[in-house]
Amino acid sequence: MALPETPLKKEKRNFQRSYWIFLLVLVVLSCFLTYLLIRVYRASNLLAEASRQSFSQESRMKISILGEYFQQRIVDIEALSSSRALHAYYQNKSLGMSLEYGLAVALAEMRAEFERFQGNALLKKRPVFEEIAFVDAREMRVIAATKPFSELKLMDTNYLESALQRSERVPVFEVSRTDSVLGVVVVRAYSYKDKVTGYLLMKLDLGTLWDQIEHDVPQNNDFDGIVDPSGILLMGPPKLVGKNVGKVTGVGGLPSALGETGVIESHDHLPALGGESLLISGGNIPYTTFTFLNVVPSSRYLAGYSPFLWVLVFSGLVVGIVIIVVILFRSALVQVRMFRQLEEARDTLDTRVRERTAELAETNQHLKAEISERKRTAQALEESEKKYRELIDNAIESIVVANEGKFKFVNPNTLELFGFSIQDLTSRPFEFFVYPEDREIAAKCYLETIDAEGENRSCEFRILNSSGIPKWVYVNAVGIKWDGKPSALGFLTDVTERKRAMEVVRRSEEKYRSLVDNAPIGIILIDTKGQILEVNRALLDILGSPSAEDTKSINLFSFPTLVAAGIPEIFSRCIETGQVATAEFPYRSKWGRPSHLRIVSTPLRDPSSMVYGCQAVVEDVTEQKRAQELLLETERIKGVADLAGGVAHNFNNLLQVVMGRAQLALNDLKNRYTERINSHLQQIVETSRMGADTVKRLQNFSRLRSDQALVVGKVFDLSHTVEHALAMTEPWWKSKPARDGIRIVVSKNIKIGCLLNGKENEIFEVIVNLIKNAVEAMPTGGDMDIRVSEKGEEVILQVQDSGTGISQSDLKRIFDPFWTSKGPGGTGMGLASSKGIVTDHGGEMSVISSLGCGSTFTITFPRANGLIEWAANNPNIQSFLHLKVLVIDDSEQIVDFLQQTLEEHCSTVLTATSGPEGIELFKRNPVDVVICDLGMTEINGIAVSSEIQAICRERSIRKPVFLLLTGWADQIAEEQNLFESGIDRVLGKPVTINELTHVLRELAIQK
Amino acid sequence: MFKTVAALIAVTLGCVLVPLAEADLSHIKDAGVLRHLGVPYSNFVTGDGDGLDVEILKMYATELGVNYQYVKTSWETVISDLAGKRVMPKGDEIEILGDAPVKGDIVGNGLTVLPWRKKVINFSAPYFPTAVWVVARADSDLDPIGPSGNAAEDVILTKKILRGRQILGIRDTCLDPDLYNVQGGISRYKEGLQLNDLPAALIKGEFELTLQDAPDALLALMKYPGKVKVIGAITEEQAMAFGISKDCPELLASFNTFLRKLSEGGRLTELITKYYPLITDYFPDVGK
Repeated sequence: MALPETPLKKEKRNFQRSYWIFLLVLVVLSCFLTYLLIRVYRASNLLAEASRQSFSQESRMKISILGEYFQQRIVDIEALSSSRALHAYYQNKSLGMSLEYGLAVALAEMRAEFERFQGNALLKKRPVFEEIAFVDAREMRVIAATKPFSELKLMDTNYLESALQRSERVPVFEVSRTDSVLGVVVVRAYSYKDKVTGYLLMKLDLGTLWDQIEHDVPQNNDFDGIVDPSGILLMGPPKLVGKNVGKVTGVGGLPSALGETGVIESHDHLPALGGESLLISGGNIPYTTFTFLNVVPSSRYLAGYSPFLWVLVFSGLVVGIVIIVVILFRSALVQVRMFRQLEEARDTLDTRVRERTAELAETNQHLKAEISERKRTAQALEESEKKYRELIDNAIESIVVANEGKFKFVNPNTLELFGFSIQDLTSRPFEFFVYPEDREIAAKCYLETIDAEGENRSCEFRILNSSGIPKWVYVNAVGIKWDGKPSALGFLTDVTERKRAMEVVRRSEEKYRSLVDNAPIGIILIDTKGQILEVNRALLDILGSPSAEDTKSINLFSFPTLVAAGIPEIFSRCIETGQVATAEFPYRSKWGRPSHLRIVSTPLRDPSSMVYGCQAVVEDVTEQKRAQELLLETERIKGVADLAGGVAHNFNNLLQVVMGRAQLALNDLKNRYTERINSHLQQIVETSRMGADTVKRLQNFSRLRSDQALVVGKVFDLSHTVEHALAMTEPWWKSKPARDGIRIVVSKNIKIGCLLNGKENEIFEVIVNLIKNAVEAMPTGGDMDIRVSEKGEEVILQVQDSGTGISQSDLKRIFDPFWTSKGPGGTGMGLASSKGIVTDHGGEMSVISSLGCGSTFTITFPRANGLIEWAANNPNIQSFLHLKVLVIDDSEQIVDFLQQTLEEHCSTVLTATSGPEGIELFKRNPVDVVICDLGMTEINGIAVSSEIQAICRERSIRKPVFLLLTGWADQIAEEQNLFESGIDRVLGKPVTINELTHVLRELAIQK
Repeated sequence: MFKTVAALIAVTLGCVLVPLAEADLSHIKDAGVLRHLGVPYSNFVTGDGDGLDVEILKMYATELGVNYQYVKTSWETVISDLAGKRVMPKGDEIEILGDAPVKGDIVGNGLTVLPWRKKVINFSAPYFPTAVWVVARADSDLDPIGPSGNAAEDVILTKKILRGRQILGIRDTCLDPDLYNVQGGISRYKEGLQLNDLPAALIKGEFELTLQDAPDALLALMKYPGKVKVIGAITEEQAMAFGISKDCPELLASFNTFLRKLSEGGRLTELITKYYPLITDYFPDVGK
């Protein structure tokens, strides 16, 4: 509680307020005065500076006027120096004329010209030039002038010569001194024919020059004037003209000290100028070496009061203010001290009163706090009870308290769970409400709970509601004291639905486990690290594993047998991509069981769709594969059989030709018609070759395919293959239908040179299949069109028929194995096999068809780029005449045969009948190709090849192509040291001429 | 006998000259006109109605109180038009060829006082100094002489270098090369050529050398700077004067009086420098 303000305090506060207000006013006044002084000081300085600027500006203006004046004089002298009279004088002089005879007239002209110029050059009607004269450079004397020579005052004689020598071809202003009279002369060298022949001098009337400058009425001792570079005043006050301005003004170094229109001060108080300090401004006059000076007493441009005075004023002001403040401060201190003593006395009294008051207030505060605490406790208890009541009443669980075998407390949710009223629940033993079969469990749980106060117990049992329907409850109970008696506080949760769902899951799991365990196909689950989680019995059978535990002990990704078969790859792919992966593998298990497996792997995902493993269906397709191969073989044999009929037909025709020609040859032999016999024999040979080709094609077609064969495929022309297929199948589409009165028109559009890389006999098989299908689709005849073309990097084969066509539903299945529309006669492997072949060759196969409108099968292959290989296969390619060949064989007959054959094609054919002979021959005559027998008596063909390779390496020459002839070509070809021995190719005996020339042609192109 | 013959001759001459005396001063005053015989030449008679001689004679006519009349003549006839006699100069001598009508009272066109002319007419007091100079084209290989300081020597020197050279002149004038006895010099004349045309004839390249009166040569130098050059003098200093008939002694006396007054008053010098501004550089005493 604040005490009432005392008069003393009020007085003190009033004093303090007055003191501070006075001090504040004093400070404000001081600042204002300081500000005013600064402003005045600045204003005076600005005025002084402006005056200086004006003074300097005046000088610059006069310098500018003088510059224009001197510039005009330069113009004048330039004009006069280009006058005709000057030129005429030197022209006539150069002609040799003398003054007596004509030359004087030029001088007279010159003088007249000078006089005219002088008369015209006026400023304010006054001649600018006092004198004009021309000095001949050679004679160094005036030869023409506006005055008699004796009256000239241009320059004194001594000065003239040195001044002229200084003068260059541009006008310069010189100072003339004649009889101590200073003047200014503008001098310009005159040139005739680029040689200085004289000098034009024009003495200025300084009076006209001085008129150019407006002069103020002289005040005191100020003046302006023009000085020469040495500082001599040329123009100015008469008493100072001719004197050195540096001495006059007391400023050393004038006029150079001025610089460019500068202002300097002289503090030498020279009596000659009234004993005042001077202010000097000026600067160089353009076009001259002269300087303009303007001298005034400094007092005219005084820069206000001196700084010293200003310092004194400021100091006085500050000292005054400080003294006033100190006096005020001292008096204030006395007042404050007095007030403080009075306040201390009063404060002592106030302190006693406040202490007593505080004690009373503290006591009162304690009482209030105690009352408040009690109120808060009661309120908290009430609120706590209310909270717990609401908690229990609104709990979703049933809460009960039981002792002495009865419910003592139930919450509303318990009433809802049991369907009984609170009276019913609390009046009957709680066993009444428990499902009879579970009463033992419930009683046990109750008893254990009340025996152990503070400990939790849980149990599940069924209760019966008011409708007699059992419900599963989960009870979580704790032992407590209720009304001082051991009791059980139980929390009951209705788990009936959960129990029911768990039962469903259990039954479902049992069902699916049974399915998996009894499935006829293998099933396996692995995690992302390849650890096998589950396998079924079928998989154990497929793998031949003794037990599931043994199988689970291996890691799918690292188990060597699986890795060797490439099986981990499909699982890795499935896990990495999250996609279903399918593959087939030949597999021999850890336990030795060979099989062919088809695996379909499906990713396993957790609820967040993360793949945590995969499950796979593993099918043993060993038998299926075997059956498929048998079917393919059957299909091929069937095709061969079909073709065989046609081949037999063709063969009969060929035999007919052979027999006929042979008969004719025999007849001609009797008559010794050798030419005709030769013709018949050639025809027989050609026909036999055709027959052999037909048989070879049939052999190729019937030969079993092997995957290894594709690796050694070659480049071939599809157009030739198609032509051969058409020829081979001619009985199907021509002879046989014709016999039955059916007409099939075959058209073809085949582009030559459509190269493929692969196995020609397999592609041949595909074409035959398509032709066969087309013919079979046209039982009553029709059109078949075969096209081979190129499009970009693709080769396209199309077989189109106008037959019955294929329904849309069948179109989806025609490439499936074992599917056929031909009834029991078809194997269903033709198109499936063809598609497999096409796919193996990197191609695609498709069909467009509809019922009644025929079908078009289209196959696209990647085009081969191996032109060299193709050219080697092409019999039309150029000859290989440039090759040199060495034939080595211990059979003379074979050597002769090969020599005769090769001499028709090669430039040189060397022969040897033993290995050493062949080696010696090679040393003397290196060749391009060596054809050597393998089995020879002294050294075999492999040794010969090694020797020749060593010779080439030693001599640093190119190794020849080494062809090894042998009857065991297949076995030899598998040996791996052939290449190391330098053998390039193995040819099987007996080698045909075509085969040999084919190889040589290929070599010729490569060479 | 001699006196008789002399008397007869005097009577005869007197009879002959009586009609001529009509041209004398009184007759002029009576006639009220002063007839100025002039050939356009240089700045003496410009042909445009002015000229030094024209102006002097106009002043003289004014003084006499008569009108001034210009009578144009030619160099071939100027003497005969004044003297009434046709004459042919032969060196310093003359041959009288016959009479001619008198067309004027006084000749004024920078007439040089020559000996042969003196035999036919009278000359007033000389008013204009002159000399005959040899003028060449600037590209002539003749170099001007170096003045010796003596006029006679300069003439000899000039004539010496003119040997074998063709010199353009005009007959019946003071610029006739034949008058000056240039040994080895070849006089050339061109029909129709006037005195004023001589420098132009040089510049055109038709001739290498010509003669010019000194004042006229000075004008040529001023007019054609660098194109002509003065080689030297072919005569010593000569004089120009007005020609007056020998039958007019009063006129001669009167005119000489007039000239003297003109000279003494400085007026003559003014007039001369008006038309020949640079002449004083050569002849400082001209007009005095």
